[in-house]
Amino acid sequence: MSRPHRHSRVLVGLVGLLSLTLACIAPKRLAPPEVAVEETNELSDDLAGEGLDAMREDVARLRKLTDPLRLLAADRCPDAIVPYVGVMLETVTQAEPTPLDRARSLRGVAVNPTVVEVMPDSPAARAGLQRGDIIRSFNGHRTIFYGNFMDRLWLDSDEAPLLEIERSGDRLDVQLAYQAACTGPPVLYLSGALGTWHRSWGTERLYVPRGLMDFVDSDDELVIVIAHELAHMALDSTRESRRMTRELEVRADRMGLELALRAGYDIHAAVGIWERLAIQRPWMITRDRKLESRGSRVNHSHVAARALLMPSLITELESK
Amino acid sequence: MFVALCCLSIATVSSIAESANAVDPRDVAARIASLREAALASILAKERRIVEIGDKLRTSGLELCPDERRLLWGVVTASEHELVALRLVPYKSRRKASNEVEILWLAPDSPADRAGLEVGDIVLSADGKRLKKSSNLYRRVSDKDRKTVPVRYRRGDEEGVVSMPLVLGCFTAASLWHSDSVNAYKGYFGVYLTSGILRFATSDDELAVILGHEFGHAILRTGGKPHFEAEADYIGLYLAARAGYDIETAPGLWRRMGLRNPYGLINAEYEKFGSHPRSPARVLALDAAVQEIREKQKAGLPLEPEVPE
Repeated sequence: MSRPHRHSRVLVGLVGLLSLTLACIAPKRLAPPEVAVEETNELSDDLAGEGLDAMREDVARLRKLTDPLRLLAADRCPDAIVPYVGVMLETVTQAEPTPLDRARSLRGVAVNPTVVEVMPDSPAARAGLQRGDIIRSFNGHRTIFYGNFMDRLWLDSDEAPLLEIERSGDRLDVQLAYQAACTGPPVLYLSGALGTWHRSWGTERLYVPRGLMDFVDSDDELVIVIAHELAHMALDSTRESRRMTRELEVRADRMGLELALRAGYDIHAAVGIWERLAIQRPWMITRDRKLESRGSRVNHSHVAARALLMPSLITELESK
Repeated sequence: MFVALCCLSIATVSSIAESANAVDPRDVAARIASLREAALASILAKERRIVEIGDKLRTSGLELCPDERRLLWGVVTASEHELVALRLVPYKSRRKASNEVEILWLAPDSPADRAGLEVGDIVLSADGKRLKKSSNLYRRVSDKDRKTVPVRYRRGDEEGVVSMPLVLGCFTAASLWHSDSVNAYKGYFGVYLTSGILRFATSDDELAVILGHEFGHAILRTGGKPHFEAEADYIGLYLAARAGYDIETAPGLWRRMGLRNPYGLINAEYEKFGSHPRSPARVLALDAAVQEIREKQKAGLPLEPEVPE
């Protein structure tokens, strides 16, 4: 038997002191009600289903507003033309399905891209694609794993691809004919943010946050914001554009309003929406500190300058 | 040659810009001023709402927070520096903008109002300690048994001292965090609600439940682990109930949180990796807690959360 170490008393004392301190600053504990895991899983699946339906509704609203604008602008974006098909697709993951995957599977979505919605009067509708169709292959290539990147496939292929479809157990071939549209397939961004943004490289997309969709009073207001962003995507692709950001804002405003007007929306919504957004985010009111302190020059990205230009722009466009 | 070409192209571009931009700079300045006024009014309305709900919770929960009692003022404040950062006043360099705490709004019959402070006053010190920023209003007071605390202020060019009735509340007053994300925080200096969550919540009752959760963290001195979050939810509901808010809205609020982003719904085995419990678990726990509080209210028992045996 070995003797206890002579420093052990000091050690015990230190440990005691430490535990006393810990006990003092340790959080207080409460006894909230316990929740059963099975019940939570069940509710989780219910919420996923309900959430998926709400999400699809929002995506359908976005597509309904954005697709006509992209098609209308096709002659004005020579550098940003992409093939347009007009379907909403979804996929599920194979391994470790999440509650959302289970909700999608219950609604007939497969691992391969599955048609969730067909836009009326689109190439997909004309080719006879239907809700629930599973796209098995594309010009002979398997489409598994492509999921949300089908538009990349479409971009890289010839003008009339052949799809192999599975519809209620049967296989059939569908010949698709593309339509030309400006780039900018909309993506629903699940955030409370108020600003849209886009990516002009790689898989180009237009991100529209839910916060903005809830904030606007009408589809007209939402279209004004979306059309402005689409105009940027159409115009910003040129190299010279990088240098002239101020001029570009005016050009994007003009093109956006033209598109919205041609698509049949009330462009008077543009008078209020930018200022209402700026009031929610005051740092957008004047973005350029230096310009502001100089006080003379006017920045085009000023919400204020824009608001002053807007009424005359609207009258000019409506009189055409 | 290349440089010359560049200069030429810049000149052309700027001339286009100026011709297309035929607005009078004075009109723009006036428009900016009116926009700033509207933005300040909107922010003030949000801050007022948060302070009103927050102070109700702070007062009614006083028994539950013996270690975290601080002054209750009933004010919304801001410094010039904060207003510059939000671009609500013309730009000033960081060094020139002052950090003095200005009162923008006073709740009627609040301690600050009863002391005789007014909107526009600069609070210089409280309880003998100089204020360097707004959160200094809520420093711990030395002697909590007094009836009043001295507050030194400046109105216009004159300085004065008033004795403010000493009223205590839990932790610090809540305030606005300028972000569009749907979120709320408890930090070291205070409790914050984002502008995003103010748009997301449909009623004061829902905001009270959210604020209750954050004050719960302050009272329990916790955060960041799922079981602590469950406890903060639990005590937060008690705080909201004690302040007289409709707690039946709480499970619905978390239901909507879960629906908002179905990608956030995860399987049970991943719950331990997250900082918060799964939304469905919070819905069910809050449902049970609402029942518990209802039963206590019916039986006339004090509204105090259960502690482990």
